[in-house]
Amino acid sequence: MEKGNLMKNLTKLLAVSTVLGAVAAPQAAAADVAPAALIIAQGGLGDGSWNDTAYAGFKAGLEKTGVEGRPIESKDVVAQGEEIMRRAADGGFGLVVSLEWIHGEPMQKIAPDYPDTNFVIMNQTREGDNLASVVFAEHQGSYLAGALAAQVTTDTSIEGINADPVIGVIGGVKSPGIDKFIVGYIQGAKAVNPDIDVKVAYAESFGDPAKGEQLAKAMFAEGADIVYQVAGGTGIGIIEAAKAEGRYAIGVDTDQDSMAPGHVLTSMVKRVDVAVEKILEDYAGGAFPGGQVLTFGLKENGVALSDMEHTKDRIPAAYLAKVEELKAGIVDGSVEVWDVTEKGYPDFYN
Amino acid sequence: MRLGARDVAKSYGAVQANSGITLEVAPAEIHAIVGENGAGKSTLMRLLQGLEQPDAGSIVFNDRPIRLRDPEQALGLGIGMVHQEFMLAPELTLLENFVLGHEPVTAALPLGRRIDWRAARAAGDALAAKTDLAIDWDRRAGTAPVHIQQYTEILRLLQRGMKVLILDEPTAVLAPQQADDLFMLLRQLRDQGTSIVFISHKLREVIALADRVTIMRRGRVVSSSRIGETDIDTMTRHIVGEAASVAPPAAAVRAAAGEPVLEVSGLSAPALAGSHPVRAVDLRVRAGEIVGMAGIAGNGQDEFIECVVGLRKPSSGTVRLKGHALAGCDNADFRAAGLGYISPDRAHEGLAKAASIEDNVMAASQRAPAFRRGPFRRLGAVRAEAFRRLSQLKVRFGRLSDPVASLSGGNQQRLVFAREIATEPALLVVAQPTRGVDLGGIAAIHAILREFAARGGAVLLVSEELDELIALSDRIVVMAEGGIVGEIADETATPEAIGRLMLQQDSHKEAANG
Amino acid sequence: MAEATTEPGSGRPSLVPALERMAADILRFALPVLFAFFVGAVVLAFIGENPLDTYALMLSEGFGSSRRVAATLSAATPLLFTAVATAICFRSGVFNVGVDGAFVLGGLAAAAAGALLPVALGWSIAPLAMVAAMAVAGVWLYVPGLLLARLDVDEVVSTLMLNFIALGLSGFLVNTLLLSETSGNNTTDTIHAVAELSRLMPPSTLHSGFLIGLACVAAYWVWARWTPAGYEAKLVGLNQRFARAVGIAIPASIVLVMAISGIVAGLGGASHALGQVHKFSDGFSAGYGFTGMAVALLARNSAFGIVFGAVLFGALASAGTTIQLFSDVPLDIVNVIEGTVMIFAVMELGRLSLRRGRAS
Repeated sequence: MEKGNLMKNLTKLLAVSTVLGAVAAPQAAAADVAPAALIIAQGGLGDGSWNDTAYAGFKAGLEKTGVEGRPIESKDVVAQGEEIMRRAADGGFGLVVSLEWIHGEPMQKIAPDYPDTNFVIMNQTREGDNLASVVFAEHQGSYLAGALAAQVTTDTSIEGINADPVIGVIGGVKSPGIDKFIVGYIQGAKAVNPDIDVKVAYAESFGDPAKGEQLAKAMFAEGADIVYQVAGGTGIGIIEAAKAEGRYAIGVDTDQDSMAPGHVLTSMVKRVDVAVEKILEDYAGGAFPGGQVLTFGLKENGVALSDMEHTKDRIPAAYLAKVEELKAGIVDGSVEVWDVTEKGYPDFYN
Repeated sequence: MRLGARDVAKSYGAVQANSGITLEVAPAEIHAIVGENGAGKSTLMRLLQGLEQPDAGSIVFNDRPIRLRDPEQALGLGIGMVHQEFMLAPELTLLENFVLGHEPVTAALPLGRRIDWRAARAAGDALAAKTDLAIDWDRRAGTAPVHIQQYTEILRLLQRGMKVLILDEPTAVLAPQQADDLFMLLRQLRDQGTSIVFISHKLREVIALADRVTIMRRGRVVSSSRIGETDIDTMTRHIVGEAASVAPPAAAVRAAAGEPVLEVSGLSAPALAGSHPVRAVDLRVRAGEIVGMAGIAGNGQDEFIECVVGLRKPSSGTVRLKGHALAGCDNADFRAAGLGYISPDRAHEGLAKAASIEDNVMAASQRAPAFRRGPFRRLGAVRAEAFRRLSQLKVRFGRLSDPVASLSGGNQQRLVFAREIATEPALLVVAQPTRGVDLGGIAAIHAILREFAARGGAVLLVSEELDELIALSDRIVVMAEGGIVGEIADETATPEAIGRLMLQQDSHKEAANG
Repeated sequence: MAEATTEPGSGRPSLVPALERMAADILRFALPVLFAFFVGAVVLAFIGENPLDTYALMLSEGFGSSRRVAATLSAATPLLFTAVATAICFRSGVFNVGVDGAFVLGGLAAAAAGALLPVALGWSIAPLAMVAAMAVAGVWLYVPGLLLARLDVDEVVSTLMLNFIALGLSGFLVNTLLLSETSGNNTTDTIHAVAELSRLMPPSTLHSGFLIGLACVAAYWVWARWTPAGYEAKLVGLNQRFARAVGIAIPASIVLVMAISGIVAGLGGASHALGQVHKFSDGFSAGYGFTGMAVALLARNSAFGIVFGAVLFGALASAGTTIQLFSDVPLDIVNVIEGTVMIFAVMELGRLSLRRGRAS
């Protein structure tokens, strides 16, 4: 009964929206598919990273499928998650994707109340018939970044590179989610050069560029010439340091190569846009992967190294070929990359 | 005439601060202006500086009437003032202060302009040499001795080409030797052509320094004469007024003085800014007795009072209230022992202007058992008591919840008395009780005090109104430079006698011995 | 030495009736809000949205059904606590801006207790967690209170800095000692189910912390009006010299209001941890301490005003988010409205600091 009321409300509200001219003309294909909502995580739209990338995939998916959809931002996204998701489901939305990590638990809790709505959570595994979990094989992408860095770091023919087999990585905080990147990176580096020294540091913050710059400069002073940043906003300082010292940083999550052209060797790109777009397509096609954990790895093009627009010309083709070879090995299963979040810590790290 | 005033009048609301003032300061003259607090000196100075404009009459400069819009204009004409509180930035050096606001700059190019410190220092040194002063220009103003700060202030004005310097009680903060040095400087400046107007309470200084003295009383000029044509007694008489309409004290209705209620001995306390430290004061007030305390403002009375009501910790000495030793205790302890206190600063200490009438009249009683039930206040009882207190002293008010600022000055002061007397204290310390109160209000407040004493209460009354002290007090002690310099019994009290003690430091020793 | 003092008021007893004054109070509350909505409307029109339709949608999303009312009250809940915690200090002229930090630490303490206390303690975990939160946050603000009262350390600076320390400390703890082992992210473990505060209108997240918040507002009202300490704190806020001269121990009063402020903020954090988030994580407080400050200023420290202000800001938060489901109005419009209300509230704050200036 309540639901009927709400549906009536929704119709009314949609009518209002239409009057506002706010609703894009729906395409024929999606006439019978309920709209989709994308809940933006802490940091909001305009973060130039996670949220913006996901939103790009969301928009692409909407365009491709003709499904109607909207992004939802909240100043209080941590506490309001459950209310927002319920409101969306009550409001007749058929797909609710949350980019906010903390929403996993409430999503799992409310999903059974809304069998007609599909839910998607990122970076964690939750259960429910109408709930899909998306995880990224960041360890695989980091492995390739490590393999590339380990080759480049001893090639003094490349500008800014010394002969020492030393590279670095800086994490935001010490946690399994971050160490998943770091361990993959170390493993990839050691795969091409078992004697390599990988320096590891944690900034204890995801929002402290000054600290990142300071840590990166310390690593450069110790002989490292390439530092992988796994530290969100702190990483901006790491890239700044690479630029200032004439060395290299490796970007993370999004393509950060252009933040300091020529000083970002590559970026380990997490293709949340690919994931969101894929889910939208499945949903529009009536094949929502409810109850499943979708792993977006190298194989699914869910993680990747960037196109290296500014550095490609400096890197010998053989190195890139080696990276491609390792990637093929991971895709076909012959190379296995250690996942800290699944298997705990390996012997070679802690 | 270099600077002056012609028939100037200025009022603030109902208070006529200046009326019919005529003043003439000649070129190269040191002109003293003296008068009690409230005589209108400060108002006149504000007019001369352009801080305010007269309601009637005009300011005269170089024999021409002018209209001063603001202090900048006065400065531009060459009229500068050295305030009691120096206007130096304590964090800057003396040199930086010296040039502040009119810094010499290098080059004429707008972009390359910098402060020319070399020129600044040269100017400072030249001026200092001309006035026989030695100043360490690199010292931070905040750490420099007061007289050096004062010199800096004077030099800064001279550098800006002042033709008239106004000094407000310049010796208040100086030691005697420093004061003598200042006088030498001022005489030298006069001889170089500067006119100097200085405000003082100290008649000896006036005699020693000034060429001419103008005496003000109650907003008017009482006299203006060359120094050679007057003397201290005449000046004193002009300052305090003729021994005129003093109502005879109503001694008959007073109870005979009883047990000592307040006993102060050897009380000393550090000074507030621009005042005198309290030094070894002994004082005793008995039940049923009103003891008056006279003195020029800033001679330690404020500090003494604060020690006696628990708002300031004395550095030594004892205060006993009904036998309880209380020196150093809080106001709450004094109140518990039987103190009522009428603050001299009604607007900021006697009342909470933003609070309601009820809150003001019931403050200090919030923890009394009569107004509490368990942890809670009995709001009904509080309201009833507020009504009782206000009606007992015939305070006219609208509602208890109205802000206290809605009352007239006289009613506000009655409210304060209503609060302080309601608890039936043994001792009432009363300071400046009729300041800003109209005539009717004054009579009512005097009646309240007489009645309180008649019921056996002890009163310590501090007032700058000599008439009031004489009218109310059984005896009057005079405070000067932080100590009690004399005591005058009721029968012999005349304004002249008190004024002599207040103003003439020469005679205070014999008076204190007498 | 002021020789002539003008006396404001001239024996004219005030005839403004109580009703009129109440109307004035309501107007002082409503004017900033109305003006803020007007500014919001201008912005909406500028970006090509119809303001009336948008506000109609906001009204319906904020209060249109029992569920939406519940969502609004749920969003208002933390603000009840932070607004009371702020008001109690502002009322005493103590400019405490450290409520957010106290809220965060209280939340962390409650979440840690709710997760780490043995589950066998059963229903008593929740009250124990609240006591822990109140103790931690109370001490947290007691310290700057003491510094202010005894050493005259400026409370604005000290409490503002303590906010950063609280954020850093909680961030450190949830990444180290209290980090959930089952999580790849910066959160504590989820609290025991038995420690969760019950929901008032399931499935809404509105929980019994709302009632605790209302109780805090009521207790604040009673304290302010009916206790000697509350009366004394008011006089301290109105005029310190006066308060001292009528025997009030100002240092004690300042320390008391700061400690109470901490306790209330801590209880708010506990309510949020036990009732809403069920854990502590990064982003635990969406600046509730600062929104609470705006509520307190808007309410002019009155208990009733705080309830209205908290509901208003709660509605803005909840409706401002969910209107995005049904329109193209961005969240920014809510920020514009909140910001404008804040500016007006800060004008009150300007008066407060003027008073501080005079008092010193």
